[in-house]
Amino acid sequence: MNLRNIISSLLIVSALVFLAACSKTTVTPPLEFQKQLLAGTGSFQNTQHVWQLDSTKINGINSVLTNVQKNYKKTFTFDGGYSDSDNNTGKWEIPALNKLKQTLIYQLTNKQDSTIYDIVSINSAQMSLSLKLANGQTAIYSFKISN
Amino acid sequence: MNQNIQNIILKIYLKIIVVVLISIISSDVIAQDTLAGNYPLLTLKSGIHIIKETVTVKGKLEIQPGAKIEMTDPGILVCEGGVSIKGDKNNKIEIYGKSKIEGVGLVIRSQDSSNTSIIDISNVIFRNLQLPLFFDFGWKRAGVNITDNHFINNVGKVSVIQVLNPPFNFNVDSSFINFKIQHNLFAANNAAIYFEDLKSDHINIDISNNTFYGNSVYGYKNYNISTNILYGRVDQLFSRFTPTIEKNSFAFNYLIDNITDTVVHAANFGVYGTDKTIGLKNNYLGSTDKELILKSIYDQTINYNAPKVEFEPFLTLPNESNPTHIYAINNLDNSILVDTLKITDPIKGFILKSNSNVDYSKSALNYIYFKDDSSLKKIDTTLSFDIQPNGLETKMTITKSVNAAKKIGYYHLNKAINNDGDFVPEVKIGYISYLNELRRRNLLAELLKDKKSNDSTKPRPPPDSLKNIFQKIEAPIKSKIEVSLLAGGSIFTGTISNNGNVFGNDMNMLLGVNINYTLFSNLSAGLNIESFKLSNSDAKSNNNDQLARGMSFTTTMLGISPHINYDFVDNRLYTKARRIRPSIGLGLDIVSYNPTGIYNGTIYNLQPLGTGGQYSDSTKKPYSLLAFGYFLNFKVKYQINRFNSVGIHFSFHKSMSNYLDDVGPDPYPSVASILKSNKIINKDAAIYFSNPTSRNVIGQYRNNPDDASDSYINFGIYYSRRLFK
Repeated sequence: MNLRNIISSLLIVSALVFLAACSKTTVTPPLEFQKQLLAGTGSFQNTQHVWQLDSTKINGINSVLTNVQKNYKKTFTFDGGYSDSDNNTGKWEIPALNKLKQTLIYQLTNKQDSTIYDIVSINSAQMSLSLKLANGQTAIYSFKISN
Repeated sequence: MNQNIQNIILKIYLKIIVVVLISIISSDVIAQDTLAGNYPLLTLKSGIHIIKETVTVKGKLEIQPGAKIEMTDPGILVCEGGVSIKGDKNNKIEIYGKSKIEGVGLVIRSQDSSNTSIIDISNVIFRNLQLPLFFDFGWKRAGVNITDNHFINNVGKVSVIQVLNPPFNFNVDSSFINFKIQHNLFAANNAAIYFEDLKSDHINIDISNNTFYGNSVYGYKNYNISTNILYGRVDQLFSRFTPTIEKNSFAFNYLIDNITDTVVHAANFGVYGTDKTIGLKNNYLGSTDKELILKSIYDQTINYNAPKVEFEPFLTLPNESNPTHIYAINNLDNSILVDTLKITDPIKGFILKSNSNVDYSKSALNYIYFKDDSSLKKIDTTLSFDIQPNGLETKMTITKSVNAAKKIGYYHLNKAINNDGDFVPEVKIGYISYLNELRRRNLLAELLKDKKSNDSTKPRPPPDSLKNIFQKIEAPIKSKIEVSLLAGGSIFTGTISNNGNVFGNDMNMLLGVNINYTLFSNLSAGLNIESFKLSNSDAKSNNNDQLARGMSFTTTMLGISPHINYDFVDNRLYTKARRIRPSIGLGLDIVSYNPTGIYNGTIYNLQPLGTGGQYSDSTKKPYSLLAFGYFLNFKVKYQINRFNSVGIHFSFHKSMSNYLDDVGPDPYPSVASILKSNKIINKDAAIYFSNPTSRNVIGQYRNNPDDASDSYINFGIYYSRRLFK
C-alpha cells in the first residue's frame, strides 16, 4: 500500500469517526417532558403512570379523605388513554404547558365530559392538579406516583 | 532342542538377507563408473559415469547411446582426438553437472595426429554445466558436426560453446574445418555461443536450424558485442569462408545485469571486426518488427566501427524443422503480450504460438507472486487450464483464479513436450517485471540487513532473549521523544450501555496529545492527555432491565494516562521495508469526570443530586469526580519518513469508579428521603434522575452490585513527529 493510499484511508476513517462522533444531544421540549412525567415515555415498561390521590385542599384547606378516596388512582397511558379506579375511561391531553385536559365517560352515567386541570406541579413522583369547582371554590388535588 | 535349531536357521536366514541386500546396494554403486586420469582411448557405454577431476582422452572418445556423464566441479573431459558422442533420437546421451557443484564440460584441444578424426556430437543433452563445449586455442580436427543436441540450463556465465581459432601455421594448409552447428536447442542458458572468428580461412561455419530460446547472457548494464547469445569477430583478412547463419530462431534472449539480476536488453547477435558486413538473413529474430529486431543486434547501428549485420529478409515465423519452441505469446484477443508486461492481476489466458506441434497435456502452469508489499516471500500456485489447439496456435484458458491482491507475479509454463517427446523450453510471462520487483525487494532486504548490522556494535543475544527487547539505544534523549496529536471517538461500555453491540452505543469525539519516549529497542513509554465526552442511554440497550430503568448520562472526561508500549518493530530501525509498526501497551488512567443529565430542558450535574441516595442516607457520601483506571492499547503506526508518521490507535479503559455514568450499585433511594434531604437543592431533578421511569423499585438496586464497573473504548487516528534529530 503506497503512501497516498494510507493517507486516503486515514482521512476516510477519520471523517467517518468524526461524523459518527458528532452526535447531538436532543433536549425534550417542556410540553413533551410534562407528558412524559405524567404518562411515561412509551419505552419498555414505561407505557403508563399510575397516580394515587394523596391529599386534597379546597380553597387552601385540607380535606379529610375517606379510605376510598385515599385509594383513588388515575392511570395515564403514554398514547393518551385514561382510566381511573372508579372504572371511568377516556382520554387525556396536555394542549398547553401546565394544562391537563381529561375527556372521560363516566361509568355510572355513561355521560361524556371533559375537565381541564391546571398542573400546579409535577415531577416523576408527585403531581398537584388544580380545578375551579362549579361553586367557585378552588380544589387542589395532590397525587403521588403509584406504579 | 527343536526351538534352538529353528533360531539358528532364522539367524542364518537373516544374515543371508542382509548380505544379499548389501550386495545389491553395493553393486548399484559399483555400476557407477568413476573416471580419472589419462586414457589412450575411451569408450563409455550406456550407464552412469562420474567425472570429478580432469580426464584426458588422448585418442578417440566414444560415448554410446544411453550414457549419462555426471560432472562434478572441477570435473572436465579433455579430448585430444576424435570425438563420437552420438545418442539415438529415443535414447539420448546426457552430460550434466551435479547440482550446486557443477562440472565444466568438454574441451577439444590439440591437433589430432591422424588429421582425419572428426568431432561428431548428436542427440546429446548438455545441461547444468559451466562450459559445455570449449574448442581451445590451437585445436584442429577434420570436421565438426554438432547436431540435434539440447544445450539447456547451463549455469556457466562464460560460454555455452566457445570456439577459438585453430593453430596459426594452419594458414599454409589449404584444408579447412567444416564446422556445423545444426538443429540444436539452446535454451535457458546463462551464456553465449562465441566464435573467435566467424569468418575464417580455416573454419567454414554453418549455424542453421537452431533454436536460441530464453537464454540469459550475463553482463553489465551496457549492451555490447559479447552480451549476445551469438557473437564473434568478422575480419576482412584471412576470411576465406563466410559463415552461414540462417533458418535459426532467436526468441526471448536477454542481457542480464550481473549485479542486479534484472533484464537490461534483448540480446540476439553481436559482431565486431574490420569487415563491413555479415549476413544474418533468413532467420527468425524474435519479432516481425524491424525496429525491435534492430534492438537485439549489436552492429554498426550502435558501434560505427563494427560490421553491419544484414538481417533482411528475416523470417516472420520460425522454421518448422527447428527444435520446437513457443516463439510468441499473445493475449486471448490475439494482441501481442509484451515481454515487459507487469502482471499484478491474474490474466484469463493466452495464445501460445509454436513453430511445431506442442503437447501441453503434461505441462504445468504456475503463477508465482509476492505474498506482501515488501518482503521476499513468494506464493507459487499451480493453475488449471483448458487447451484449445488451432494449428500451431494454442489457446490456453486459465480455469483456476488466483487472488494475488495486486502483488507482482509471473506465469511459468513448463513440462511441455513436442510430438517426439522432446523438451520444449519453458515459458515465462511477466518475468522481466517480476525480476525488477525482486531486485527492489532484495535491495530493501539488504538495506535492512545493513542497517541491522551497523546498529549492532555489540554481539547480539539470541533472538528470543528478553535482553533483545530491552537493548539500549545510544542516542541523545531528545531524539527519543515523539509527540502525537490524536483524534477519534470514544464509546462508553459501562453500566448504561448496549453490551451486545459496541457500535449501538453513543460515539463521541476525542482529542488528545501524546508524548512518547523510546526507552529500549522495542519498548517505549508515553503520556496521553485526552479530552473527550462519554454519553449513553439505557434506551440503546438490548437488555429489558436496562430499558425499563431508562437512565441516561453525559460526562466530559479529561484524562492523563501514563503508559508503556511494546513495539513489534525495533525502534532503532527506519527502513522503507518496515514502515508499518504495530505496538501494544498498557497504562494507568487518572480522569476527571462529571456526569450530567437533562431534566425539563436544563442540564444538571448528577453528583450533587445524590441520585443513589448519597445525600439522603447518612451512611453514604457522594462519589469523587476524580477516578483512577487502567487500560490496554493497540496502535499501528505508518512511518512516512524518519520524523513523521501517522497511525490508528485503539484502547480499552476500565475505570475503578462505578460512577462515570452516575449509576453505581446503590439501592434506589425513596422519594421521601430525597425530599427530606437538606443538601439537595433541586429535589424534582433528584427524584427524576434517581428513577427516571418512576417504576416501582422498592428493594431494587440501580446497578448490579456484582458487575458495576464502568469502561470505555477510545479509538481514532494520530499524527506523530519526532521533534529532534
